[in-house]
Amino acid sequence: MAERLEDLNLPNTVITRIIKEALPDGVNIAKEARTAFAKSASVYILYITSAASLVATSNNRKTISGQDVLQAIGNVEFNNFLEPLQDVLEYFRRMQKGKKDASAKRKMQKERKSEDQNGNEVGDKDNVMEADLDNGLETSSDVIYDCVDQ
Amino acid sequence: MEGTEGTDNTDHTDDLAGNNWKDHASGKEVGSAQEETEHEEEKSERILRLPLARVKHIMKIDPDVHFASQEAVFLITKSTELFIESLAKEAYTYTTQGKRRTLQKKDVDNAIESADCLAFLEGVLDT
Repeated sequence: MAERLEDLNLPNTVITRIIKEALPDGVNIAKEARTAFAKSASVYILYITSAASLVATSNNRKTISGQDVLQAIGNVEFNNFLEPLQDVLEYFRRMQKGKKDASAKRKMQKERKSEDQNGNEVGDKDNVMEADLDNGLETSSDVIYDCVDQ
Repeated sequence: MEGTEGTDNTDHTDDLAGNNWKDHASGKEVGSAQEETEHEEEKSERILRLPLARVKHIMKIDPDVHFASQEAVFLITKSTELFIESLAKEAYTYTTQGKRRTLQKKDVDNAIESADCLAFLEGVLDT
């Protein structure tokens, strides 16, 4: 799978915006510095991913979970990130739950139609979804990618 | 939400230089949790700036990494934003020390050398 070099970098415009908003008005960022930030950010991602992967493996899991990431961040001493991350995580979970409820609802409506036709039970659709998650299988709602090269 | 209450006295969200990080604990992104129902749609656009897909791409470089939950990718993306802010503030202390208005690469270099938690970046910017 050919990776383009640009795909491995984060968008410079976004990085610059993040920097500018973190600093007082009127501060300029030299071009070389912008590149430095982009590179550092990419390396940070690899660093945290590796640390989180270690946490997951030490718990005999193949899937890196949100908790693994939080633990890894604590392990590498970026503790000041943890509180803001918890806040944002709450929000993210609520959003995900909203999406899941909406798609579960749609599924149930589909099942109801086929129940009318086949006379079968709708069944515990919610539990089936949860079982998939427990088994660590990818579902469209949870694991969103598979890192293994094809 | 308990998280947003940590902005008062015992605020331990300090950046690498020990400066107070109240802005982040109260969260520009999270904002006022009380009004969240009104502004939720706006917030859903603002909660993340970096693209999840690109972050995923970078994560894939690690051959030992196979599966990651959505939450994990989300948290890594968000923490990367926090990291950039943190590094920027740290570097900026050197910019002001040099009485400059332009943040230069050497400021980033100095930041990396001065903070223990940034040791993983040593040598990365030398090209």
